[in-house]
Amino acid sequence: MSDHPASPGPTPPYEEFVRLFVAHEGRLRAFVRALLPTWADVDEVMQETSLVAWRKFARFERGTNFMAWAATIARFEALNHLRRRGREQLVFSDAVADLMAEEAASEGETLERQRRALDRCLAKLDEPQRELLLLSYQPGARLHEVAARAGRSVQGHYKSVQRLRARLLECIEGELRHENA
Amino acid sequence: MSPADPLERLIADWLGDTISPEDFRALEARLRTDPVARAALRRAASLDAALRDWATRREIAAAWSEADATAPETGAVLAPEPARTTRSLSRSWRWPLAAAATVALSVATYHFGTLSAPQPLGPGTRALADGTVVELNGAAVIVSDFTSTERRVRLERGEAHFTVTKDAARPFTVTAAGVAVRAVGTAFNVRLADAAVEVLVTEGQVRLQPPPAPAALVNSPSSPLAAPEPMLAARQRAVVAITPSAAPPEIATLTPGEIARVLAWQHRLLNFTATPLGDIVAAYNRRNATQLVLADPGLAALRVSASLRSDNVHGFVKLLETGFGVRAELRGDSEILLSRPP
Repeated sequence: MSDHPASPGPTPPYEEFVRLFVAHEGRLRAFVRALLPTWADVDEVMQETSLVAWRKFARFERGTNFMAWAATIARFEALNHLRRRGREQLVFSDAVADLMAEEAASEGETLERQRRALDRCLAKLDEPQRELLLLSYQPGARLHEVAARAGRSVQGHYKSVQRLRARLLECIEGELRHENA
Repeated sequence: MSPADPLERLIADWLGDTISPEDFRALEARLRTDPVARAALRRAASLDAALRDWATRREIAAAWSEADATAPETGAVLAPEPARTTRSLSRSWRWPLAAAATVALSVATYHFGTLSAPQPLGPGTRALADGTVVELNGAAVIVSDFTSTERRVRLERGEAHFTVTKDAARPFTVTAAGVAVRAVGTAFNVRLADAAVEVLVTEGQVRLQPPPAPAALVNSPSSPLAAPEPMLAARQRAVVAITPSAAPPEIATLTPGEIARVLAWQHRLLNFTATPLGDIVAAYNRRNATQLVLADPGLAALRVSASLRSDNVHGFVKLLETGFGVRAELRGDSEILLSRPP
């Protein structure tokens, strides 16, 4: 990374790969999330994607769209992952996955703007609402456990989280509209 | 849009892993033909990813808070045996950058609120009002009650590890089912099981006060009240029965390996983004018997991004070897020297 001792020659491939992967990881993760139903699946696929991408990095054409290249790998890994898990009935068709990959690769800075807007929208929630989201999205969180902890039914907890999500989405869209105005 | 919107509901069910096969087919059909639907799914997935990152960085902040509070002392608890031999790590350890996924978000802007009144706390790691760090296992629940003269925490259920901030004027006491564990500045784990309370000291000493015995047993020589309140030192574990005919606490000294197994629940996914290697090494050493040693001090400033379980020391070392050109040597059974290649 930036603090790594400088090399006299061209940037070593691993440094270049890490720089590119880290730069696109957020968008890649969001794309993979759209293709997979759980975070456990996403974590596994992201790990496998980084592995495969590194193995194939020599074939990546410098100067082309890294996100598009990595999304192709991630798309393949995500769909394979679900098939390996015997969840074929929940695998998007190649046509849908290809469209999602293409559109994700052309999104540019949208995700970063959304995330900045999210920070502002989270600040508008009250503390119990933020705590509910925090518990629900912490790595390893399980719906039924979080619901039990909150003393609520799974269904009730699920609906509360969905309402908060809808509110956040609405707030983010408003923030982005305000930015564009 | 609201969750009542059919498309939004399909997307929410998909991302919540609650979608039926029929609904999945309906979602697939919409996505195939409708760019607005695909944009909605991307937006929802992005929000999900951003919320996950936000929750994760809160966890990272907690982990760093804990490391700051405990690293110097706790490292000694699981300290390795003195070095005996040095050998190179196998090249088969080398693996590509499988864990370069990162959360590119600032951590420094987050901090914990203070807790003064008795307050139930959620899962994960929490910083109490005095700076004491509590790590809760799963559905554990604690209630804290701090005054100007004492700090009391009640373990309502489950298991928790406490790293207590030193404050001689205000003793720190954890109670669980009538068992009291009193400390000044130390670290220990308390587990409330159905029939017993287990206390494991990982640093310093604690005084153990078993629950009051039933009146009929008070005069019995085997009554907990008949014996002095035992002191537990680092690495000692006491099992205090909480049944009416409770026997005296069973106290045993555990090996580092046994301690690591008891505390294995503390391991979780750690995400580091462009974090100085020195900080990451401290975080791993805090949680593992295998200790990482920076043989080259310059390495401490190397910025590393990684997402790995906190007990996956060897995986982390592989990442350093492969991704950052760091050289690793195993010294003895539980120490790994990290240096730049010659």
